[in-house]
Amino acid sequence: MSETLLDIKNLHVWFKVYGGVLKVLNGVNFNVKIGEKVGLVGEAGCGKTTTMKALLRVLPNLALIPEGDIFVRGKNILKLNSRELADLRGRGLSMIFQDPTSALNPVFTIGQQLDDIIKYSAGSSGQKVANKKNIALSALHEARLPDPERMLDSYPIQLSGGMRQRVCIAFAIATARDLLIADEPTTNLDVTIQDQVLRLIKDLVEKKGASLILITHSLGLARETTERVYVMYAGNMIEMAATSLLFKKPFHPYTQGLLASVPRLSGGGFAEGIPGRIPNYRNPPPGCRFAPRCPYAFAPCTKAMPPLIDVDDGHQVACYLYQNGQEDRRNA
Amino acid sequence: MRLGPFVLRRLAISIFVLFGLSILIFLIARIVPGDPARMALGPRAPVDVVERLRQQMHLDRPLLEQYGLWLWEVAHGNLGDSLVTRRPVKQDIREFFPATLELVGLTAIFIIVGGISLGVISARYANTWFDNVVRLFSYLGIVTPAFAWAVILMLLFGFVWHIFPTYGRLTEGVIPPVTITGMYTIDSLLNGRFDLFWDAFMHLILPAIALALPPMSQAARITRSSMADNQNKDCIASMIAYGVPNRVVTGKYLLKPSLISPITVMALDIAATFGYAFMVEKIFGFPGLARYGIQVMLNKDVNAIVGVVMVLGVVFITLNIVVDIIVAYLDPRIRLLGRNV
Ligand SMILES: Nc1ncnc2c1ncn2[C@@H]1O[C@H](COP(=O)(O)OP(=O)(O)O)[C@@H](O)[C@H]1O
Ligand SMILES: [Mg+2]
Repeated sequence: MSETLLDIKNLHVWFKVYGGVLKVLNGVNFNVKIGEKVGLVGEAGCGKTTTMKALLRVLPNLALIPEGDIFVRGKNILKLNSRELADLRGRGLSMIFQDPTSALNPVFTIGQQLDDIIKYSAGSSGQKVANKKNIALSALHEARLPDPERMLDSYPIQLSGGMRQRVCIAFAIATARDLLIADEPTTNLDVTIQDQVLRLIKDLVEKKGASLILITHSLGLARETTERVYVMYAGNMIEMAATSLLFKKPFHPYTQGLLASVPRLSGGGFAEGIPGRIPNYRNPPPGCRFAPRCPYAFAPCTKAMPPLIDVDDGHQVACYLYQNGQEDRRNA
Repeated sequence: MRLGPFVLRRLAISIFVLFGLSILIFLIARIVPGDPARMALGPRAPVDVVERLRQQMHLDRPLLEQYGLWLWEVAHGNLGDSLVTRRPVKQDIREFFPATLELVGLTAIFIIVGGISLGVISARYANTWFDNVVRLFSYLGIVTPAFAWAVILMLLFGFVWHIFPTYGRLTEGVIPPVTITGMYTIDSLLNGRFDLFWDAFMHLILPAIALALPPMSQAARITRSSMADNQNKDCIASMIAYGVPNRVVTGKYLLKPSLISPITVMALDIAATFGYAFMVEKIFGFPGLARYGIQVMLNKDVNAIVGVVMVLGVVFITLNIVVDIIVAYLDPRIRLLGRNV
């Protein structure tokens, strides 16, 4: 329960856009151990999906990684050649994307898409999967989809949002995976089926002993499902702790703000409690990116980004309020 | 969507469209100034001769009656006589249309194969030197009209380097193959005359390239941008992340949704080529329908004008039905929900 599966170190991701560069990820540090369930929370646009796409190496063409390393089982995947990468992808990671509508190809049937995913999941070792159709059918069945036979011949457009999301989960079920990334898997769903989908995801990773990264807007969801939580703000991990610890004693002013603001039922922006907005990534604040919104900001905050430091056993915070053994400056 | 009923419905609609088109062009051909009979007989023909021709062609009757007479003839398979060639319009079309059909057929192959493959390769190697070269030549291709390409190609490959013939459908003095379809390339193959096929084929290449270059460049741009748009979609990222190899992702999952818009544009371009080929046909001395069409229009040859326009109308409608079937095949959203059909 302690071997590290995924280790992201000081990851920077930029997007080249018309007339400039968006410096989105700003030195992300993030790790997941084998079999661990990790939450990733943060308001929309803070770079959660970007971090995951970097890790899967599916960033758009206009993205670049000027700095940073991503280790999967000790291998730096940013330095793999295409063969090694194909091999890793065949067996390593899977992701349930944020929007199940855009995550399925509209002009191919579910069966056609599942078929290729299963076929190439054995990795580049080239072994043939004998019973692709049976695997596909049982994956659809396990994902609680009605009438799997008919599902194989259906196009995404013939399915409801909840069914599409379950098809995405069936993709993950159909392939042996070490790590499942679920990117806001319930945000676009009806409240009534959110629970079912979440339970499916949990069952899936627990049965396979896989790790889970659950990205969510809803702190309640993270609390129910995960063992450890990262809080992300504008391209940085600003706090990390065991889930129970984080909810009991949040250190970072941003986390405190998140917890104080009442989470809405169906997700969505939860940071209404904190005035202000995510900074512009073209010209981000030079120091701590949260400083412009932080009620406790003081001189050092505008100079450089504070590093993540231990404030408790397994509890890390990136905030000058707690640097140099200084306790809480708010009382000073 | 079931194919049979769909095609039947479209054909039924097409009949109305053609009917409307015939009324429109019939009126336009007669309303524009100039006396067809006088133009046919020349300025020095005696007045009574001109008048006799006018009566012969019913040009002295009211328009409505003229149209009724014309319809009556059409119902019996006649399109009237051409004043320019002095032959039945039907016979002219039977001779000139197959020539344009084989020319545009080859043009279409160039547009489709060239446009899609250049677009796909540019998208695959986006922002590399290859992409930039294709982009530059595409802009050049789009802004330079087909007739300019015709002159350039003719000079380079016909006169500087004697690679391709530059005039007509066959080498001077060669006897055409026995007519079956009227398309020399196909007829010579059906007759087993490979020498004739090669001769006819070589005569098609330069004009076909000239006609193909502008729409092909356009198609390449559209294919590339359509691929680039789809490339960053989650469904593609998902496939890549699951380890599906790049060649499968690009050639299957990316290509199919990306072909829908270029195919629609290409079909319209190909249909339009039938009409605007006249300059290129003229330059290469190619006896095609487009060249004939312009000739009869300049001479106010009423029957021939209506005949040519009706043929072009049928071509447009047919291509539209074909493209709708292809798009419905590619896109289940149209097939299943019956959208846009
Ligand atoms: N394809 C892209 N092109 C340009 N900018 C992008 C692109 N994808 C993401 N970004 C930028 O990255 C920021 C973070 O996006 P994202 O990772 O999707 O956030 P989250 O998943 O946390 O909501 C966005 O605000 C946007 O500015
Ligand atoms: Mg996101």
